[in-house]
Amino acid sequence: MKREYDIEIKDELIVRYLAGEAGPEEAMALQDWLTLAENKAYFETIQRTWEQAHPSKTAGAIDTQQAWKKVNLQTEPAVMWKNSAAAHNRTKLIVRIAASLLITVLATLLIYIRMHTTEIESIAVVTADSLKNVNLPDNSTATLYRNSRLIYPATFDGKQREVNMEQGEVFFSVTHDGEKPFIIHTSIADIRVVGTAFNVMVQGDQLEVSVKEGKVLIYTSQDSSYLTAGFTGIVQPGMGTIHVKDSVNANTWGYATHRLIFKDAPLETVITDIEKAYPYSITLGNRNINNCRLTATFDNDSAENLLNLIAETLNLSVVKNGTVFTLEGEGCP
Amino acid sequence: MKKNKIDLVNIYKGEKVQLPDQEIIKAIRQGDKEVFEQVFHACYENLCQYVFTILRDMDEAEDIVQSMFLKVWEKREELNIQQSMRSYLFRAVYHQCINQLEHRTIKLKHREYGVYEGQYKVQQPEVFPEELSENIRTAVNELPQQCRTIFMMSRYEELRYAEIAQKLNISVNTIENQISKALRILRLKLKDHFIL
Repeated sequence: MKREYDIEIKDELIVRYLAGEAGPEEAMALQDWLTLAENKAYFETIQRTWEQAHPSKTAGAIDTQQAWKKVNLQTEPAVMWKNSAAAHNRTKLIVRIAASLLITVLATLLIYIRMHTTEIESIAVVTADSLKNVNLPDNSTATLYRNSRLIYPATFDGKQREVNMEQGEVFFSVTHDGEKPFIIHTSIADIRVVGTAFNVMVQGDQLEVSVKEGKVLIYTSQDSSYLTAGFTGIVQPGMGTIHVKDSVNANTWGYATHRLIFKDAPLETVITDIEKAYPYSITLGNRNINNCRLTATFDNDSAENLLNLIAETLNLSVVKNGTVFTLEGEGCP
Repeated sequence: MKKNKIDLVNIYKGEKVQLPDQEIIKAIRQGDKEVFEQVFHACYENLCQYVFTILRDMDEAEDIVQSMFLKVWEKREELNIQQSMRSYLFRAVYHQCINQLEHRTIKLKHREYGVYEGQYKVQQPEVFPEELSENIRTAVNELPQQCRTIFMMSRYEELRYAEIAQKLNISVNTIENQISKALRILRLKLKDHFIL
């Protein structure tokens, strides 16, 4: 396409336009460039981010027809006029809210239907190299980390909901039922809850429980202890006593929630946590990259997206090869 | 002089470059309302969008574009346009915007002197618009330091590139790069969970 102005369209110009810094020639060149559908699509991804960062400053729709009527009226006699675009914007907002509500309802319905149509037939779930999400008969969920084993009944008929965890690591999200406590039996200790979310790790003869939400009771034949959100309980090997810490590493259960939070964390920790949560490994092209520190919140990001973000934040580049991501670049001093 | 409507519109959407602009201008000078209307329909939306980027207020943007068209019509007989009609319109609204911005700055200064003299903080912009969702706040807060400062000054304090450059004593080029970088990071961060 021939253009009236010989101006190259780069990311910087698009951003300059959005930021209201473009001169009239640049604006025209950009608008010409936008007549091509693929350019428009690209522009819109950037524009969407720009608008998301400041939702109140979104441009409303423009009604040329309406505007012409106004101007046309003015071109005859000279009358003062006032704008009615504000009312128009309000209608648009209401439509938007209604649409988003509708989508939420539909999504919830879909999840509900899916949860209810999942047939649970097997009673023992075993994982090796991959993770598994299990819907228990009471709609509680269990996410099994690698090399884990969980046994549960097809229906919870008794007075309690009881499951057996033999080894590995499982993140439980237990639905609330005050009448029927939920009990996890392990060879080291038992864990009793009413309704909460927490992580259980059984490694050899050590057991560790960290609580995300609610309240959990751990008990052995020697000792028992209540843990609330943000606490970790460790059952000492052999002795059956419970050691309680007033902290949790929320990234421990990142494999179940895909939510990872880093606050000025050394990259080594970041990589360990990501490798646990995602089925990929990460290598570094340069030792200095290990010196970098990261502050970031990842919530349900794809591994690819997450690594691109880290790279962009730390001025690195990322190469993907099968299940291995390599970070390259100068790194940090 | 008979005009083909569709043709005119296409011209102004940038699909054709050879403009019979002198004819358009001549027609408007002679008071041809139909041609004037066609130019209006072809350019109005694009002009509003452009003005909106500068003023960040669509009501104001529409006001400016409408009154500019009115002015063109009122002064049609003296219309002396060397470039294309479209260029003329874009430049005219651009100058109008710059005027408007200067107006705002003056108003703001009066207000500042009156109430919060010298309390204006430059280094660390902290104030987010209230309605901003938590995940966007987090994403913006986690941008690399300089990137975040510049992005916030541009997006939330609504400062112009030149003003930011002056306050931070850096080049406009750096600002462009940092804001583009911020958008790249935010786009990646927000990609997997779009809000409607």
